[in-house]
Amino acid sequence: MDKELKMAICRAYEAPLPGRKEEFLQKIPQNSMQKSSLYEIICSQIGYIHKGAWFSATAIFGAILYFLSQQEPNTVFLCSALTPFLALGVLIESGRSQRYNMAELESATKYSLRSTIFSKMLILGIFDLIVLLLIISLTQLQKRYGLLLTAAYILLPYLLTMWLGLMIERTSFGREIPYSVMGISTLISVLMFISTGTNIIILKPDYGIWWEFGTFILIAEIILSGQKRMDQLEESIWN
Amino acid sequence: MELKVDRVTKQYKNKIAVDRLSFCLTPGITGLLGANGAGKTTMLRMICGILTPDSGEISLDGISVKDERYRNILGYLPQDFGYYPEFTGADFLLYLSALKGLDKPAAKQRTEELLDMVGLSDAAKKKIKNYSGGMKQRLGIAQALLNKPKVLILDEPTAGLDPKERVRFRELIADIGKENIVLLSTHIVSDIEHIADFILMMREGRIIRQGIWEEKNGNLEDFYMKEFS
Amino acid sequence: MDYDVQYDKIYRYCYYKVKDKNLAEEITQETFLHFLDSGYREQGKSLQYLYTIARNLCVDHFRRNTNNKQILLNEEPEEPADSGFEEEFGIKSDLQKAMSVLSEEDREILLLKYANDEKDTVICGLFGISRFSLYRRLHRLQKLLRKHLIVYSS
Repeated sequence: MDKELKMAICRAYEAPLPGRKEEFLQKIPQNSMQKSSLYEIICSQIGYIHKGAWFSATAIFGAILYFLSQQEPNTVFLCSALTPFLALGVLIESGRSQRYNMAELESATKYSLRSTIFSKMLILGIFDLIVLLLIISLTQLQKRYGLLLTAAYILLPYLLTMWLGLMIERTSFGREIPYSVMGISTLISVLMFISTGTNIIILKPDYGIWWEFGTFILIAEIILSGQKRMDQLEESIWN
Repeated sequence: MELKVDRVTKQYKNKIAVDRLSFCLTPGITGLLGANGAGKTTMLRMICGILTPDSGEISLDGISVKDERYRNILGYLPQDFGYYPEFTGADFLLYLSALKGLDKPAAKQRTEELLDMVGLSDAAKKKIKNYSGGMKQRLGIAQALLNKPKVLILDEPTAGLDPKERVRFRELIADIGKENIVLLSTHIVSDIEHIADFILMMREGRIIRQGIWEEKNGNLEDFYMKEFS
Repeated sequence: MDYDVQYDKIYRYCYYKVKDKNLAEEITQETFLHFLDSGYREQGKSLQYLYTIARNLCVDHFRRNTNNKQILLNEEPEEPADSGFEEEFGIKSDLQKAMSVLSEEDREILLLKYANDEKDTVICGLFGISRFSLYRRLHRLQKLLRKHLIVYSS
């Protein structure tokens, strides 16, 4: 559609300025405004998630697929050693507003700071969940351990990182957060690697029940601490 | 339209930042004067609904300031703000437009309008990290106006602006203040001297003076100096 | 939906239909009031609904004011012969003349698409046509009108 034609058509429909618009709009009751839905917020935020977060998540997934293709006996543990870094992506993204001093501006908008951070975490969290489920089903093909145990082996390091990371973010602030969170994920990851190599007892299926138990506890804890975090968001920013 | 602040108190550890403050804001420009540390910023944050008072209430025509409907017509410029490192001036405004619930075409239109209004059209595609202090401040003023707010809260808005930009700013605000509530917090008296309809003076968390300021009351600057020295 | 922006668009639409500034504004405001009263919740089709209300109100206006030339009871009242384009300095541009012989539906589509910048989904929903037919129609109209465009140098 060429510009000239479009402009000419626009001119043909031009109307004299309405005189009573401002008056009328002032009268429209605020109550009738449609409240924003979570879906709306998520849609608007998807584009603003740091490209790095998607990239690293995909890279980690790629690395895990590589491990799986190698058919190592201890594949499960190798994979689970990488999951802390998936959690790292979510944690770093959730802390961006505070880190770059945008939190105050984002608090005063229609979509509250709580919803924007929550929706970003939700988007990445769901992406991670899909990746994790894929990993679990692929490792399960090896049929080394029961489904529940495989899931627990893979999920526990992820959940542990997430839980500790959220706790750190809640209790400290500033530029050091990413470093301490990165440290945690690296630590857990290295622990997993080392244990795999040295065939530590704790990885034996006899202790599997601890893994499964731990996984459930962590899921509950994360949900609770997540809520606490949202409530305390405001206080932690302004103090 | 009336913004009511009702016996609001906020305490930090062992310091009382805001002490049982009560006042009303109506359409027009209200200047909030006071030294740094007087509790102005705390008060402004509570009016924006981003900080909860320990006691007391703030509401606009019956709607709590915590309500999404209030935030929808609110514009706020904090004393200090940052930006995501990769953002250009236009990116910044588009991002905040999205957060303020504007759809893409409205966001684009409004961004262009405001960049023009604050004189940043040429710098729109440049990264904010390359902006001067005054340019960043003008960007901040622009973002506060994205949603055509009916309540505009500005915390030290002229910091970093040169005299010419200050004049432009005063004209812009005077225009908005005709139909909307504007609360301007500053320690620079000349910012509000000629445009404020009402004055609030704060010291140590309390309001020590409030009312309509008229030219006949003398020089605001002198009065201010007397009160605060 | 930004009421401010949409007000202008509905007003432009109504003005095109009724050719009277005050009446157009009245109908625009009535449209919004109807919309708000209805408590319409479905976000996706809000704009379409808004235009539908505006269109119906304009039709109602014609029904009230038309000289009753209808022979059959269910015949649609004729809209004024004038295509509705403001004459500039008393002379209709070539383009406007060309537009005045288009069908009413074509003219509305042009208004919604180019003057009001509405999304295709809204236009298709409003006229009950598929995207494909919309594109074909716009393409045809474009070719037709391009011939009648006289470019005035500044």
